[in-house]
Amino acid sequence: MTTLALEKISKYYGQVPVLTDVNIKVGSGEFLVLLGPSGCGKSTLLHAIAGLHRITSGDIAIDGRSVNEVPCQDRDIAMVFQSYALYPSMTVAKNIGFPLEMRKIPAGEREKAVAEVAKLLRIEHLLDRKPGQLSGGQRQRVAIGRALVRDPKLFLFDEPLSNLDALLRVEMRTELKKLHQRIGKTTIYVTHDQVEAMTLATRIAILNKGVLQQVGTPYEVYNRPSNLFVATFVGSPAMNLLPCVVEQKGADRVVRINARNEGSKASVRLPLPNDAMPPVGADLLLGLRPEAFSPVKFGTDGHLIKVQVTLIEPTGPEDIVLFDIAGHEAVARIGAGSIDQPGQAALAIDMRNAVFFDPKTELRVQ
Amino acid sequence: MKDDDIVLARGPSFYVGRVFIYGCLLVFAAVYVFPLLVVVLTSLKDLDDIRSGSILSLPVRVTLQPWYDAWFNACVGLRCTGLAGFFANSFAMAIPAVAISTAIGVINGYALTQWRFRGADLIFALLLFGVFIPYQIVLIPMARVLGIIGLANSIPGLILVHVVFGIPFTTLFFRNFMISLPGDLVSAARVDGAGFFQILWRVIVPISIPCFVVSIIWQFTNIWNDYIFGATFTSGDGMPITIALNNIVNTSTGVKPYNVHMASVVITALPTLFVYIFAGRYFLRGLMAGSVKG
Repeated sequence: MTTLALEKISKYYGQVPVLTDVNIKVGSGEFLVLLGPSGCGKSTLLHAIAGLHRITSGDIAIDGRSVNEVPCQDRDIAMVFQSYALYPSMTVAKNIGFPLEMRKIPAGEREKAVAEVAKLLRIEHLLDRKPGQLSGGQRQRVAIGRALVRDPKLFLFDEPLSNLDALLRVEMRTELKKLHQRIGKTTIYVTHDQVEAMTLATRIAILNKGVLQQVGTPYEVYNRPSNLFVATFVGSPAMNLLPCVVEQKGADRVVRINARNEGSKASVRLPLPNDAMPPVGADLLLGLRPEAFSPVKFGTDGHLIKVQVTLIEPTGPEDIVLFDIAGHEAVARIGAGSIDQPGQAALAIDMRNAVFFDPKTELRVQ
Repeated sequence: MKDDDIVLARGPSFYVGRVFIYGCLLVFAAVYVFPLLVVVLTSLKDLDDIRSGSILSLPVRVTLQPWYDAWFNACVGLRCTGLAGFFANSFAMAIPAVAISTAIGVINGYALTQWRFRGADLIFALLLFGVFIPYQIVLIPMARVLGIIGLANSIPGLILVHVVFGIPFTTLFFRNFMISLPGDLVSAARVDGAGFFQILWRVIVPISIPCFVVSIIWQFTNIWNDYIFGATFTSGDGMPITIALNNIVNTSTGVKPYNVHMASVVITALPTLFVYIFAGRYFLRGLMAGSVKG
């Protein structure tokens, strides 16, 4: 099994920084997803791990051995590209067998390995076809097959699902996860799709403008985002951010959501759960996920507030509800039909997963 | 008429338009066909027939004797050995020159697009200058160089000249074709463990066949039809066929055997014609087989 360590990776194109001081350690058998908006440097990082790009400074180590000066064919990795990059002139069997052929594996062994992989990916009937005669999903399988056939140390995926239609993407996502569970290879996976990242990853590394923002499990990244960028990038609809101040009320502390302006409704006071320790008196941003709102009380200490609902978007099992709280627009995700039309409504707020951010540093307040 | 034709308004103006279009096409076709017709008809007549009939009349007696004479007996200067030897000369020059210049063009295009290095665009721009250099400028320096390296008045010398002049063109073709290939192909092949030439040979060449067609047709036609280099750098038995043809036709003594001249012209032009018809068809069929799609 394989570990990967990225230490202080920086990359510049001329004077332009693409990656700045990225540190990630990937354990054996992990499925690490590099997530970020386009242009954040995630693909550059993956290509650097593959050895297709040089890094300006830092160290990439596979199994504890620095590979900075090792050319990509000797790094013992396999990669699946966004465009699949199948060789158009070769049949599917030749495509899958190509990495073995380049490593001088005898033809007999090669055929056996190709047949095994084809069976695993259920593409046996396609082996004699050319890539041009395959559908998008089939090409995707062939590209994965070509990566699987050689039993490499490390799997690299560069947005492999982004060229598929929505239905196929979900299907292939599930298959990729099953595949990873079965073979348990250390995997680095690049995507800009946060749902893909959440569903596949054992850990997610979020990048923005070449700087690593947070590395954590999907749960941590979703519920304990380390800064405002992560909070708003992960989750759809995005996290609600409401300006607030924490006040001391005798033994209890409460959160007061500041009214947006003079004309807005009076500010709203919310109780704080006991374990949260945000500083008293400072201007903060309260982060609440859309599912922190509910038309019925959460447990015994739930707290109902009056809000003005402006829009309801049904999605099937749930409704996305836009409402007004102390003059700020906020979004709730609630059970379908529990609020039937815009207007006055009462919503309970679950403060257990509330997070606070410092608006100046944009970091989460512990 | 096929079902998927586009819908056009049918009316008097439609038919007037059609008549005009087909009229123009016929006129232009005639402009190209008539010279060929005259040449072929004349090459099949004997000399009496040529003198008595009009230029477009059909031969009274079809004879292949002029073709035989052109191939075996026509006089180039004082030697009456026909075109056969010069035809062979031209092949001995054109085939290696086309092959070498195309091969170098492939490697240049591949290196300039798929293995980007600092200064690649500058090198390409400098190579492009070669496309615009008039042949006449280099004749004297080239003659000196050929003399110094001992290739003056020889087929290998001509091959060298044509390769040097062909490289800018073939590089231009392949570079502009390969710049449109997805860069991931080479990355994938590198991850799969292939080297520079393995990737070229196994991945890039098979999908560059349309570009080979262009390069081969262009280079073969140019090199086969070349006159100025052949006339400048060769003489006697080493001449390419274009020079020999000129010398056959431009004799100023005795009766001019027009039929032999015409047969010689057709023989000289045939190889380029075959390259267009067969190479073009053959390669394009390979292209249509779906290897490049996707």
